[in-house]
Amino acid sequence: MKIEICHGKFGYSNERIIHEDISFDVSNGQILTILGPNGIGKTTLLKCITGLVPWMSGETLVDGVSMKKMKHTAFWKRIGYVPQSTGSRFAYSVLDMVLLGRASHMHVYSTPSSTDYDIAMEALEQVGIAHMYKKPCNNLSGGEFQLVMVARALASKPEIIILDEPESHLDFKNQMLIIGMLEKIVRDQGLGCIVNTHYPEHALRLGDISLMLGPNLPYLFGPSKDVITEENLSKYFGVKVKMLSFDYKDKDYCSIIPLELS
Amino acid sequence: MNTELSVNNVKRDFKIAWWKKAVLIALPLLVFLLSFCCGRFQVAPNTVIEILWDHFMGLFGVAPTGTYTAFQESAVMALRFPRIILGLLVGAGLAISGAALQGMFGNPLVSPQVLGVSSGAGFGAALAILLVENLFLTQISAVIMGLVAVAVTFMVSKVGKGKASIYTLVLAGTITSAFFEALISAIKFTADPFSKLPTITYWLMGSLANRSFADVWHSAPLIIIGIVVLVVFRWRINILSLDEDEAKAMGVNLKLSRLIVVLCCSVITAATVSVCGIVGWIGLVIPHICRSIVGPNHKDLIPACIAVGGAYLMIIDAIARTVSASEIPLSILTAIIGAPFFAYLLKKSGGQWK
Amino acid sequence: MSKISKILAVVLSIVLLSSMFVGCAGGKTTTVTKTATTTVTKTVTVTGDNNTTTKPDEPEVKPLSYPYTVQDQAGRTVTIKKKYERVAFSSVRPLPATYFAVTGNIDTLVGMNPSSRAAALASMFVILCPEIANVPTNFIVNNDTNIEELMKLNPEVVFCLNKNTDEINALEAAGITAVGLNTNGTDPIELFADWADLIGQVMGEQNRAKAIIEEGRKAAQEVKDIAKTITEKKKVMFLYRDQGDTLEVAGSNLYSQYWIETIGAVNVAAECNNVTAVSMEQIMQWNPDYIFITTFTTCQPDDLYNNKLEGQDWSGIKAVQDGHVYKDPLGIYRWFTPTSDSALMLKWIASKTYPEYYKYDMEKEVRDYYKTFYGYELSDKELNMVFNPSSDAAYYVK
Repeated sequence: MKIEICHGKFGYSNERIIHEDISFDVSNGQILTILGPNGIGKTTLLKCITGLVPWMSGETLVDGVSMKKMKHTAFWKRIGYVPQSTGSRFAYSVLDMVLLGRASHMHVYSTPSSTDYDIAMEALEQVGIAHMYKKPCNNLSGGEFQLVMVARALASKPEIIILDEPESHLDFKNQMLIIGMLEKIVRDQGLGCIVNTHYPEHALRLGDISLMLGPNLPYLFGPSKDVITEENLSKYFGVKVKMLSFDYKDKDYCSIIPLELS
Repeated sequence: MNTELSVNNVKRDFKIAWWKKAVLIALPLLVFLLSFCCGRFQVAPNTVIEILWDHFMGLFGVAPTGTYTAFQESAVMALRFPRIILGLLVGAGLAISGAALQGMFGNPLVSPQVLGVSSGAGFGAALAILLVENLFLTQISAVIMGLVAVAVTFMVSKVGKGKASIYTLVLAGTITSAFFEALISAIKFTADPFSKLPTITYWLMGSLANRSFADVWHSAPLIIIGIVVLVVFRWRINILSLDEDEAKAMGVNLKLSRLIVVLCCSVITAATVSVCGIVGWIGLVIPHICRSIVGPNHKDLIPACIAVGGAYLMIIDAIARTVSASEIPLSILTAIIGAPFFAYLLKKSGGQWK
Repeated sequence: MSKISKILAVVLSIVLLSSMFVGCAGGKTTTVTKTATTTVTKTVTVTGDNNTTTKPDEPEVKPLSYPYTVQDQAGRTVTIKKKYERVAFSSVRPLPATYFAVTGNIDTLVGMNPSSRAAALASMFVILCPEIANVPTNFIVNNDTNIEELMKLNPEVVFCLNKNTDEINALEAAGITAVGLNTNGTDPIELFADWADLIGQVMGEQNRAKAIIEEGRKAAQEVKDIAKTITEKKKVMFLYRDQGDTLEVAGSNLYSQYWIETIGAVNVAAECNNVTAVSMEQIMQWNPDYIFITTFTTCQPDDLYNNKLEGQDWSGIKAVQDGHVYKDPLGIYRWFTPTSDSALMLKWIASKTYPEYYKYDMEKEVRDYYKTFYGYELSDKELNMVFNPSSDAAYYVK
């Protein structure tokens, strides 16, 4: 499966254009990380990609077919969306919350079946919080709830999963967990992934392709190693950094150390 | 997968405890039967049983065997029976509407009145009482104006798109309610203070007095259809309670789903107002009571509301028609019992809506 | 007590004692056929705060020197400045009819309550005074008096409910004489007496008033005497309103209590206060022997006999089975309330409930009464209208 953005343009009005003629694509088995300073429009971009907010011009193509021509349910069966965690209003249990992700596979008049319960528990296992299935959602920490939302997106068995800053609110270990999980599902299950992230290190680690956005600057799209450089980080984030690489268990790792404002 | 968390165990954990289910099924049935014994006209319980039995067996063509007067039979079957059925339907309908709307708006303080249906229906009824003295026309007028009020709310709320829409809907509902309440006041102002005004005032306070089977046929279809659709749709209401983007991401047609829920709740509420006047507190309090019994998952909440809501109003109506010679309006009783209970729930839950 | 009052009291007592042996005096031509005949002529002792007492058989001594004062029923001292020629009634619906009974005409009536008008148009009032249909009512909106509209009618004196202090103050400020009347009370005969007497004093004409008041008291005493001999307490109920969705009965603390108790019966709805909405079941529980339907509702005895009302089953009620459901007659005004016809109401309800004890020929009673007190000879058709009022009298504005 491949998602393509073709010359997408979005703004809240003609004076406030946020994205001007942006084009990129993601396929199964790829992780696209999106970076940029606060307020640049990363979340808005995700919403435009998924059609939650319409493009001003340009379009999203799914396997060459314009998203606008696709049936709502058909689209969402293949795409999973994990927004930023805002907490839960109602005290649904974790499992009930994850089961909601099965909606696109269920008839309007159905309630979840055994299969649905199966898949939901699997999803909880994947994110590592299966033991919490009975806990009410409004008793969870921000990070735990974030994991529930990821599990919910996974429960619909999407081909591409889109996440908006999933590592926020997570402690060190859980951040590792999420990153590891994303890597795993992409490698093992061949899922595609689009992730907004504030952490260039995670972006590098997840590898594949990146999109960098900056104020009054052209967007950068390409392999992560080419996009995420000291020069680009300085230009797009306004922070001078030092990147240090090292080997660990036959794998390349890179650390980015912020030095001073540039 | 971890055997402890095997699906069967999990599902069993999530089933409502069997005894709770038993109570929820038994409660309305029990109240239903006991209500037949309540009323100002003294009919001994065993006579009531005889009458009910004979009528039940009569459905199969069995001749009546009990010894009771036509008077007693009339009291039980012609006077109490329609009221009990209506109490069940109206109570269940209002409770389920309240639950669905609270779920849809993601706001536990919402009641079926929020979209202006009750005020509109009340206006329709008051207008009909003022102009004609025909019960059937009053009922039709109430239903029509109730739905008109919801339509007005929708039109007023169309100010833009995006996240604001749920809030603009509530605001629009407040505006519409206020408008129709003002119209009701205007009608009260012009009504004959000696005959029409007391009739309108009493009607607006809610009562099942003088209800016959004709009223049941007029309102039951609407209420039942609304309830059935909401029951079928109940699990999806969970999704409607999420943020807009989250809900859309589940593949749900948000606009259509909301429309269905609102339409069902409006039809149910308008039908209840048409036959019973405006009865408050049920749509607000019963869902909370049920949440504390079965949890917030609408899959279980909606059916629970039918049981508890129906039982509640049957009890209230039994009190209204038995406690004193004069009929007590229903909304007085539901408020006197409902408000303190709500305060108690609030204190107990500490503001956390379980 | 002052010296003069003492003398007056002695004179009064002598006259009273002598009257008892003289018997009926002029002005009364009604005869009552019953087993025991005791004609008591009471002196007209005016209740309320008025101090003047007069003797029944002597020509009235009218203080025609203006201004003079009267005590109204709002505890005020009202100055009567002249012989009023423009009179209005804003509240207390039976008053215009009372006014007519007291003064004999409605030439001076310039305004009244629309509910009074509706009743007038459906009752004998419009037959006796066709001009009543032209009396303006638009100054009353939703039972509230619009003072400025009222002023357009240029009234000199306005009679209203004693509790409407705002209205009374506004009238006084506008230079209009206001007279407050009381409606608190359950004895229609005495309540009417208060009204008639006060109106009579204000208008400077008391003869007619006294005659009717006396007639009322006489009837009351007759009935009470007979009632003492009655041991069987029949169960009576006043159906105040039964139409649309409303089912109301007249309980205690209301005229119904008087009508029923005075004749020796018992009010099944006594546990209810004033006008109360009840359920059909409650009425079944009471199971009254006699039902009287007021003219405040469109309901007619036929509706009960044929069980036409939805959600109600009258077939098992004793009154319906025995054929004892009656519509209150509609004479000069609705007979349920205090009126100048109250003597007739008492006799009528007595003869309907206990025909074996009260043997009044009601047709003759009504004819004679109307001839004597209103100077009108009722035709057969009109008499029929009195005893069989239409449902229209229930409405506010026509």
